[in-house]
Amino acid sequence: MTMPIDATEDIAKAICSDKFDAVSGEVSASLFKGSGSSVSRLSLCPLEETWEMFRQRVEKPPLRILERIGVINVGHLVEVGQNFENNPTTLTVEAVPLEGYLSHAEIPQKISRGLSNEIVKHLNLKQES
Amino acid sequence: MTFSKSVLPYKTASWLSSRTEESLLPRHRIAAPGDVAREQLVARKLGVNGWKRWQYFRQHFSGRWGDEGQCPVSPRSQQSLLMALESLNFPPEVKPSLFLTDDGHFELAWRDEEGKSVQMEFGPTEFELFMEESGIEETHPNGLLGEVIAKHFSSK
Repeated sequence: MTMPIDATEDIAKAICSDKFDAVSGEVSASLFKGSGSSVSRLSLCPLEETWEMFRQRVEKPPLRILERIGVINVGHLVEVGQNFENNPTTLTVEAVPLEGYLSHAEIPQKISRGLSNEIVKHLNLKQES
Repeated sequence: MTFSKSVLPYKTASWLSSRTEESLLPRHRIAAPGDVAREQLVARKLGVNGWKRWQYFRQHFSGRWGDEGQCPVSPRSQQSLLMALESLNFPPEVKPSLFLTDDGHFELAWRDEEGKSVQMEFGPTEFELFMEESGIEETHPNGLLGEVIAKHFSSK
């Protein structure tokens, strides 16, 4: 059973040191490339708590550091997919709650490098204050 | 006096013998043959930041990593990256960013003179080229690396 997330919701993507060059500020286009990209729903886990949750789940200092969190509205993400000139793509975000990680969701569609670039451009990059 | 008589008998220092075997393992990766030439190549093309990221990935991502058991650095991806760096010539002010994909592939990203993104991902058997300006998004076998680079970047 799939449960699409409402277009009004915002989702957050962890951006770690393997996908972020802190000197140039560039984000890797491979961030969303492929299928089943994991995100977190900010409606269930506010940004302040998402920092802590991502730290526990994805960060492994000194190997892998959580550098930024990328935020995008689901409706905006869908528009980016539809407006992608090379290959208009219907994107959805599906709730995939995990044990201890209720806000977990996935973008099930296969995302090309070109489309991933477009999504990255539209991310609102958050840096912990 | 013969040479053998001049050599003092070997004795392990007490502080050394008390250490565990684990603690005696080298703390830094031992350089492999050709490493110096590779380091010079990476530093020349990617700058100090790129060199640091290359070493960071090589040293810390050689086993499964990340929350989803992402793939370790692929030695063949590195080989492909180094081959590409030998052929690619960036303007002095351009220092590409180096990333590691979840598949363990090295990825280069930089901006062309128009500020548009150029990206190359190096897999074990093939590589991907993305050029935002021309809308190019192609995958080629690694055997064509030199040819593709010459085609798109020869005058850059």
